[in-house]
Amino acid sequence: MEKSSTSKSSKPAPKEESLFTIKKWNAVALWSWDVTCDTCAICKLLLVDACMKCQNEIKTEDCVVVWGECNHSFHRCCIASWLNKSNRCPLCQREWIVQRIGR
Amino acid sequence: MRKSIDYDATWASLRKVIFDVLTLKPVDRIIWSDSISDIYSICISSSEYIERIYNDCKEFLISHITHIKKELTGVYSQALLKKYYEYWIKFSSGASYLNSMFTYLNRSRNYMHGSDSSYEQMPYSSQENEELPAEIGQIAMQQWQEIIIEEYQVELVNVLLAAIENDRKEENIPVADLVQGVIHSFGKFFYQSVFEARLLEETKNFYARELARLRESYDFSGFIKAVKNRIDAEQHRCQKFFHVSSHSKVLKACISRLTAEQIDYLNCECARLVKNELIDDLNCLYKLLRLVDNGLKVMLQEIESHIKRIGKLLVINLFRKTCEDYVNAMLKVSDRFSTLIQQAFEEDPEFKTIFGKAIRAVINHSNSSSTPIRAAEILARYADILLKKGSKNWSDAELDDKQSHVINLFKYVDDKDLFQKFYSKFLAKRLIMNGSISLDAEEEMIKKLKIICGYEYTSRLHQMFTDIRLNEGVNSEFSSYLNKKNIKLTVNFSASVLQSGAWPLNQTSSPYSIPPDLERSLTTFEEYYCTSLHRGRKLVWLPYLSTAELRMTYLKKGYYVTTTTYQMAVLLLYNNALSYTGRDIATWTQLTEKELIRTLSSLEAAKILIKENSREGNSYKLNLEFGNKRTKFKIASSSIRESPQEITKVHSRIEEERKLFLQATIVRIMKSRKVLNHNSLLEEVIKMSVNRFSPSIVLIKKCIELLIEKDYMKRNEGRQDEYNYIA
Ligand SMILES: [Zn+2]
Ligand SMILES: [Zn+2]
Ligand SMILES: [Zn+2]
Repeated sequence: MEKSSTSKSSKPAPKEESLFTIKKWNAVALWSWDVTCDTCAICKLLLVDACMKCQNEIKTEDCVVVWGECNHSFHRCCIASWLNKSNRCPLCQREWIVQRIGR
Repeated sequence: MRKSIDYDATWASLRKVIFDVLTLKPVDRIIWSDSISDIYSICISSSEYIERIYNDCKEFLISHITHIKKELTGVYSQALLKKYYEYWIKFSSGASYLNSMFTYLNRSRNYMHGSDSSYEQMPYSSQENEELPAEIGQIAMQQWQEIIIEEYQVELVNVLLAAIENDRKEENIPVADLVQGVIHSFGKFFYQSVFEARLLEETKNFYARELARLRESYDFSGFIKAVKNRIDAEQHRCQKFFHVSSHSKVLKACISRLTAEQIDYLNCECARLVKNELIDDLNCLYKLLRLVDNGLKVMLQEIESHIKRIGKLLVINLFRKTCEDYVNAMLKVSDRFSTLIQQAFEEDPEFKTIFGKAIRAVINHSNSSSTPIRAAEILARYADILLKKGSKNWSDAELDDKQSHVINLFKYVDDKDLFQKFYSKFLAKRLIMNGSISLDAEEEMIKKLKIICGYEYTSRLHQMFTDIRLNEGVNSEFSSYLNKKNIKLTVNFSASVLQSGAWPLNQTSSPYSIPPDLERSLTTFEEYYCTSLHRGRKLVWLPYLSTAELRMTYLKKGYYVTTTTYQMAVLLLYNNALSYTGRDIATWTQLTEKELIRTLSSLEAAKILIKENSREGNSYKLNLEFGNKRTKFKIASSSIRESPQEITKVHSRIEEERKLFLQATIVRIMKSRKVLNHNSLLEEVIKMSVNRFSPSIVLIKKCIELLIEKDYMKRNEGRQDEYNYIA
């Protein structure tokens, strides 16, 4: 969403009592992982969903995203089993160092 | 050491006892046990005596039976049957006593012939072990058959069959014991080789005559009832008269004459009964046809095509009717025919399957190949009506009933994935707009869907609930966060944060200009949510779904109005002036043209703004005379009103999703099977898709081709109808 504040200064001056006053405001937002690519390159599923294994075991709550120093991101479960075979990022082959874990 | 014994004297006294036993005269207990010990003494004295007493006993039986034979001469017909039966009953029970009196002799002879099996049961089973020497009881039976049956068999069988015919005609009904007893006296050999064949012959002849008579005297309805009665009676008769080995043969002779041999006639009338849904007649005919091998085939076909015909006619008539009309009509059809299946066909599983098949065809019927099948969308809309606030005031029980109705029809819908798309769209709207009658009712419905389609099908719907429930906690934690940080927001702000994957919402929205103090609420919340509460998340605000409550202070009464953020952005302008040109509003609010037109027309429709046309363009004036019955009200929002394009979008999106689903399914199957032939692959894919949609063969083939191109699999070089998985 873009918000604009252009030419606010030229708006007519406010009157003494506002005709409309805001009592409540409920804003709706969608959250997603702050990632460059929204699918997990290991399991091919969307990062916002749980990985295949967690979906099957019905524990989607625990399936979070993890970012490497290289800024690539995967399901934590997926990269964990990947690291059993190799300690490199599946996408860029750089050494895998965790930058942050989603929450 | 053997005791010497006077055989002749012993036999002479035994002979008298034998006569008394056979003729059922009272025998003194002492005489009875003396006789048994005499027989014992004879048996242990010498093997020569064993044979001698055995032969003497046999001779005695022969002369006794020959005497009975003479007694029966000159007696005929019913009288013979009666007299014969009396002699037989007496003789057979006498012979049974005699056999037990001679137990020791029987045992000794069995022992001599190298077996110790003892005489068990009168009279059929006694003849089974032919290698064993006949026991006294068996000798009695054998001789009865050789002497008496041999002599009177023709007359006896004729009289007996006549009695059975009388029973069938229900005239001069014979005494059951008598008929059964005489048949019993025949013994296994005569029964099987002579009597049973005659009985079956007579049965067939009788029912051929009976069939002609019934056809002549009744209309179809009366006829099938009469046939049913005849068959039931014959079943009962079998139990009453005949040996169990004949029951199915006699019944079959009766049934084949009365039903199987005229199945064409029955089937021909069946169509008429089905067309008029004559439940009683159908039930009767069903019970008859059920008895014939493969006899229900035509009836099943008639029922299937009847349900389809009636149902499809109904679908055509429902074109352009409301979804409530549609659901009610479908329920009526489904109820009507499930009642028919229950009452006429006694819940027969074959008929239930046919019912399901036909209802499925009706529900997934489309008036023409160009119009999409509406069932999925209609049912989702109907569910929306049920769960939306303010439609009707149903009780919990009524609501539960109505939800079950949706499920009952949903079961038969092929496009379950399409239903899910529409359902989640409507659910999103209800949850965000706070328009649900209750979260419990919503959850109940989803539970019902889950039972049919499984966890995966409803997992996103569940996620939507979870989000709504989590938001309460998020907002109260946000308040404590504000307190702790000593931040004061100028408006009473709350946020609804939704997981982007679960909600079918458009992420792109029009930009708009808002006062800086409002904007500060958003940024403060964002900071709290993305850094304090969570990590690695980002938020996209959806102003078209966000709502504000504004107080209108310029009127006679104070009103509270609920608006969208866009409407709010426009209305806040009027704090500074009472009228704006359209162009100015566009400039101040920064809304896109499309959103601006929508927003202004909604405010105009609510009579808050008054539109004035002039040469320079439209202008919008605040309506200072505004009034409303309610002090709290809502301006109808057009932002999430659906357009026809949106529905087309759902349909085209579903096509893409299906292709992806099929490809993933094929890969999954091939990965586990490695090699699979074409038809088995199709079969498995269809089986795995059944809870989402029913894929066409063409679409599956297309997906296989795509996967071959993408090198996921290849055709087997030797066998073209086989595929290999490429790892
Ligand atoms: Zn993954
Ligand atoms: Zn996982
Ligand atoms: Zn990387």
